[in-house]
Amino acid sequence: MSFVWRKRLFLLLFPLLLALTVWQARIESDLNAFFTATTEQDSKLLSQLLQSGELSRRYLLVVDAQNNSNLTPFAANLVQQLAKLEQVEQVWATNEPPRAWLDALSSYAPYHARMFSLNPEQETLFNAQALEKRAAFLKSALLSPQASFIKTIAKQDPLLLSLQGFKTMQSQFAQSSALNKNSVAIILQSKPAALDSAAHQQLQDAIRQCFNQLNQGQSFQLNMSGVPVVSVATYTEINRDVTLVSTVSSLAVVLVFLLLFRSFAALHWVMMIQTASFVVGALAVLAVFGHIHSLTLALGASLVGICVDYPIHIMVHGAKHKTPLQDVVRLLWASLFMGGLTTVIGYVALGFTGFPGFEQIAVFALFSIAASLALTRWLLPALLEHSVLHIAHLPLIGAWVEFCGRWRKVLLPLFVLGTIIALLLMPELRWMNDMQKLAMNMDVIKQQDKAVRSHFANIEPSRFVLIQANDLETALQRSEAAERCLQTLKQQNVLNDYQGLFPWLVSEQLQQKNLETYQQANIQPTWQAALQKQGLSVEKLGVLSNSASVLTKQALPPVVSSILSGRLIESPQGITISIWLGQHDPDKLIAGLQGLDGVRYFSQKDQLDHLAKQYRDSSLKMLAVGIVIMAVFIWLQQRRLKNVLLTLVPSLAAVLFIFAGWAVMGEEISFLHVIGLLLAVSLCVDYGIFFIENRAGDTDVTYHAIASSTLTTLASFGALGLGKTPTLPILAVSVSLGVTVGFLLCPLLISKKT
Amino acid sequence: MKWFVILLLFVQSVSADTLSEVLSLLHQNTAAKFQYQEIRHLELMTTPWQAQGELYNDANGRLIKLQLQPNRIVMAIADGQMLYWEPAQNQRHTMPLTYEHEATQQIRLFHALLQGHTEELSKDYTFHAEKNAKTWALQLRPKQDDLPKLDISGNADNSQRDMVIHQDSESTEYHIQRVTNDSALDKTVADLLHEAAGE
Repeated sequence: MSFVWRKRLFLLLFPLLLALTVWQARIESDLNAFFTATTEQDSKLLSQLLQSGELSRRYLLVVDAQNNSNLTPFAANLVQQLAKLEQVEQVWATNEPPRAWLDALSSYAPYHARMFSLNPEQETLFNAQALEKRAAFLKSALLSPQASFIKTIAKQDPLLLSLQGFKTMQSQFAQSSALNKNSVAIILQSKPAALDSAAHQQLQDAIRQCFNQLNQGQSFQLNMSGVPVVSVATYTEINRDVTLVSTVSSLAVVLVFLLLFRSFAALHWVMMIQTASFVVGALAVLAVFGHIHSLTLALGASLVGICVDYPIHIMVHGAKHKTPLQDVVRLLWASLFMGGLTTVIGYVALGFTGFPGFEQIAVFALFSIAASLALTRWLLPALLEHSVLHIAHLPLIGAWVEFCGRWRKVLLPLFVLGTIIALLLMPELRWMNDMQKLAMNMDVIKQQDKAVRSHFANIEPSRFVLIQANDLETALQRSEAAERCLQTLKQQNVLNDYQGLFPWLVSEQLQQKNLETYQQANIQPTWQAALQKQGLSVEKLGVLSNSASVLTKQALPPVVSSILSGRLIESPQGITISIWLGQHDPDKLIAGLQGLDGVRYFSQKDQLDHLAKQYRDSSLKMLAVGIVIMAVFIWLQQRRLKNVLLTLVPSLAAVLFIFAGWAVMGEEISFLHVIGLLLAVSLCVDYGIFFIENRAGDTDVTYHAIASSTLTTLASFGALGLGKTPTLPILAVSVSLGVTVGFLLCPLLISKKT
Repeated sequence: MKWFVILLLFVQSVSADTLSEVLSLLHQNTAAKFQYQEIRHLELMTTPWQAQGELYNDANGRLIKLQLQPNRIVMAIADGQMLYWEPAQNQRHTMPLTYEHEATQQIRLFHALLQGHTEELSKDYTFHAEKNAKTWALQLRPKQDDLPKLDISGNADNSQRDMVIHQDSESTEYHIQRVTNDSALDKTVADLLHEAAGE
């Protein structure tokens, strides 16, 4: 095809590609999808808890009274208004249980004989004295403001046994009430997944709007916290990073390009090629995953700095030798293809590290690099057919090549010595075990969170006791065994509180034990005497039923499922129950739960740290695998082991020296550092290939072309360093260091003769 | 027909006058202390239950019902919320009066009548008033079945009132007698509020 038609075809297809991308674009902002979504069972559970766990979806709101009276009715009104918001599942003030919960309790009355205790054998509920007390309590309750509620239950359950297990819930509300004298604490359970930042941004705006409307003419204050608040703040920061990094990265590459070639005509054609490559990458990700993450776009933008290397390489050679680009492309194509292939291998290896976000980036890189290579090969000469190219002379480049050549005999032993020292330093490397260090620094939000949480009876959002079993009955039995242990540990002050499933759901085994204890007690005559003494109706309250059908989950009102939604997870793999914990001593708690079947302590933080270790191990493995695969491909092209080694040595040495530098500095290494170096290797190997093949037969020009590529790579990856998300600066430092050291080592390790 | 319309308007006007007179008798906007006797006829009790105590009302619209016999209970309405404290059973509750809960229904009614806030009751109740030289009476009939109905009566100098609240098959009678009008009661009201709130 002639150059003219190639150009016309590109100009026709380019806007179509752009339009298709805009039309198809589904941009994902869910951080979980990028950071923790994985297939391993525990990680999956962690991801599920972060994503849709009840505690993760909760907002903690505190209304402060300042000098206002009428706080309670104001808060009640606010609760009513918030309940009307579309994205709100439930909302309640923590000093009184929600009305729906109280209504649900009355449905337990018929099952009272089956659910009054977790330890029925140890109960002393049925002796004469206890029954007299119970009758007195019943009378008092029938005369209290709660009379209507109590009367409904007492008609089916005169001893109010069905309420026995719920006493702890009452004490939790009372505890919260005591914490809030001049404020009202409100829990708002949202419908969207915790990390669905866009939905939560809208919900938070709606909550504030609702509060401001009610607060007109008054001076109440609203404070808000909870996982979704952190999620939205993170999302905002990441968005800021994405915009900043993409803009600075693109501008930096443009600037470097202009400094090198001083041609706006060349710039706009090359940038069109890069935009087309970017669009192809984005379309490929959309086709494979159905959506593209905003962080993929941010990191993808840095790929521009890599993809632009291919046209730059051609243009530098063309400008230096005043050769038509068509001929240069033919001459250098094999090196370019191999360079692109090794970069793709690096990115694909990245996709296999297990870090979900990098799977998208791997696909993005594969298609972007392929598109950039193809467009450089077949389109670039057509686009720049009439352009006269000039290349700026980069100072010191020739001098460095010259210096390395002249002093190689001295420098090489120094290099070997440095390599030995670096190897000896490897055991000193410090690995980062706390994934929290990779989280964004949000001190203000953390302080606000601490202040808000002080108004709530403390249930920790990220540590649980997990119970797993194949069926619900076994899971409930295990959960009840765990709760008995937790009761003991609570008495020993190992934990201050917990929230389990009992008595919302009771195993059939425990129901049977309760029923037997109740039947054996034979309390009817004593109970009737106690009723008589209190002036209560023996006729209506004195006939006790000795049997009741089994309490099943299906018999309960739907609100119970909603109350337990985050604590009971049913899946094809089985049943998972989580018991929420208050403040506790993890070691003593783990020891206390030891020996219980299917019961274990689960900490989201530990799990995240475990994930971090897993990612680190797999990234190290992938670094090795990536290097081996690159070596195989280089060998297939070069067929000389020595050349393969020489191509790889600058990048491997760069990685080794950087690791050693970090070891000396005491830098904590995370999987992101390793991933950055993996990328650096895949880029540096290109330099090795170009340098060793030196197809133009002019080392100075080849090294100039490599230097130009290095500059664009530094410009684009350096921009990542401006990000506030720690992931980005880590990648910026490791890739930039890697390519710089690799670039400098090329003329030292690969002699002109080779 | 014309004479019938005129008669109807006359009757309505007389009836409206009586109602407003009776309502003004109910209205209590100064600090006052009452003694009360309460008799409850409950479905689940064999004999009527009796209690007695004091009622306090202050100029800010706060109301305290202090039950002294058979055991101490403080129930208060202040700042749009109801407080309940029963030391013998260690039971304490706080709930907003806007809270759609039956627990506050009777006390809200009681409070509205004693404060003369009948306008807020008019959306749920129809009123019928009677008055002669010595006594007056007011009947409140709910527009919905789930609300209690109420009969209240008093003497001409308003020193004594009787009130009966009926709901389902149960009823509660209050016999209330004014003890004093005294602005010094504010401290007692404040102390009792603190006790109810557990402060």
